[in-house]
Amino acid sequence: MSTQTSGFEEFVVARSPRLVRTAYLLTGDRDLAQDLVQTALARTWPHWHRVRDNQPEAYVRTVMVRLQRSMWRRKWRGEVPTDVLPEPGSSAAPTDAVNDRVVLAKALALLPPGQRQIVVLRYVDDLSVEQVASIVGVAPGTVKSQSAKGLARLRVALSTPVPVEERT
Amino acid sequence: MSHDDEIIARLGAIGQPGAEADLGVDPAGVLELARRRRRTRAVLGGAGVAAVVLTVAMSMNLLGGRTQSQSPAATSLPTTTSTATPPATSSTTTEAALLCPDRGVGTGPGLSGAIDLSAALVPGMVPTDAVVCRYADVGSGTPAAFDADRVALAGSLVGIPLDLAHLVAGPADACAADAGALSYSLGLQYADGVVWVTPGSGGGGCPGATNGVFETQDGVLPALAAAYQARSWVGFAQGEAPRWACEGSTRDETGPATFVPADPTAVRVCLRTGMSGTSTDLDVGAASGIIAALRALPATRGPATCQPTGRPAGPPVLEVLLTFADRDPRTLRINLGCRPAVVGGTIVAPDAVAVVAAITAATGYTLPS
Repeated sequence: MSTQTSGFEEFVVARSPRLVRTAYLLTGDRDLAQDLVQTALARTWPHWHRVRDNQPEAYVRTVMVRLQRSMWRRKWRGEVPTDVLPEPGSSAAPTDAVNDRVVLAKALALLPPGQRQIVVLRYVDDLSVEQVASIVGVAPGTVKSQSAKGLARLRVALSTPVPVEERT
Repeated sequence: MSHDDEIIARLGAIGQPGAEADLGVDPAGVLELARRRRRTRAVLGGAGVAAVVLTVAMSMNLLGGRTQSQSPAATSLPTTTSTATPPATSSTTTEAALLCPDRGVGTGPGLSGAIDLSAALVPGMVPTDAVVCRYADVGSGTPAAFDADRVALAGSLVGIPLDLAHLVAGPADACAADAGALSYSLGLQYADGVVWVTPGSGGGGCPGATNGVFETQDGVLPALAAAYQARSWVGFAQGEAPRWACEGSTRDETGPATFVPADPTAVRVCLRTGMSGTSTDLDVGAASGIIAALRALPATRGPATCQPTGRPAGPPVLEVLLTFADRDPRTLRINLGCRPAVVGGTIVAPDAVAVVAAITAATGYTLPS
């Protein structure tokens, strides 16, 4: 491998599991997530000499987010969001991390695509408002407002039935 | 712990490494995919481009009609040779990307690489190349009516984002075009891909426009027709513009108090006097003095209520429209008779002397002292 691309394979091995995790929550589909990450990494490779010393993971995330938008535009979606979650979330204590991941992934799939990207990058990947704004290509204020709206929708999707006394 | 805190904690937890989704991707597969992409690009940029362009042209029903010319001086040429043996240069790839889409198979949706088409009709960047395709007899509704001429737009393209990036979202009308009507599409080449803008689905005469994702009710057909005729981007004639020439957005108000929140891609200065107005488009080089003056302003958040300064209030009013690659266009208003003198949403500055000086230097406008 040339010096221009040295370190790329190591980066893929080290970082792609985390990127696939993010991609899974963005797409709601494991195969699509693998495809998304692989394609994003392939598009990063020609620019590796330029990005490897400058937050390469952020670069790949940006490519992923934009590729995912292209997927939506082409109706290339493995996900089939439904209005009803198979198992309500917060009533079950999140002791089972795997189950909780599935429940949250299904709840995230109910969010509008752009909102979902922001919530996943902000809270799952724990990026700052400014980092998310840079990756998604929106203003920081948009990240804040969409984060709040996304959490509100998740709260509804994950909530247990509203107690009688709170309905009035 | 509030509900939101709990959800945030749960989201953070699933971001941690775990057994369920920790499969990465195979580096060898990534490299093979990358090499395939590189080979494809090499073919497009090299000697194989003739066959590729020919294939694309055939698939677009172009060979039975007229071919397109990059030369502003020629509108239609006999077919085959120019498409079969194009020079193998990088511009050939651009030419292939900007072949007119076939109106017979749809509305010519926007094609893109990494360009986000969902928020605006065109990106905020200035395109590197632009073409206008003209379609004849769109109202007949048959593929046989397809007949496209193409002109490459010469001259400055800075007016394209300034005219089209701020059009508001809304459904493009699906009306039936009159038989014999002309319609146009605008093809824009960017570093990251291509965008096609077409009128409403009925073609010529129908209001609205779309890039395949974003739709607007604002009509762009007059500007496309004018560009086709002039072979350059001339924008909208007075009375045809769907939006005031300097209309932008002041929604991005939650960040730092600054009039220029990012590097602009293009700048338009509007001078309103009474009911009339004029505007000047500037590339970022020509507008560098204005941008620097705006950045140097002591911007604060505060009320934009006009406090007369003793100069005659009201017109003329200067407005500056800034377009950006990654955010909404922004309009700043400069009222010579008020304090604060510069207003951009909730961001204000008391004095506009330096900015007005930069504007007059860049535009040649004469303002009352």
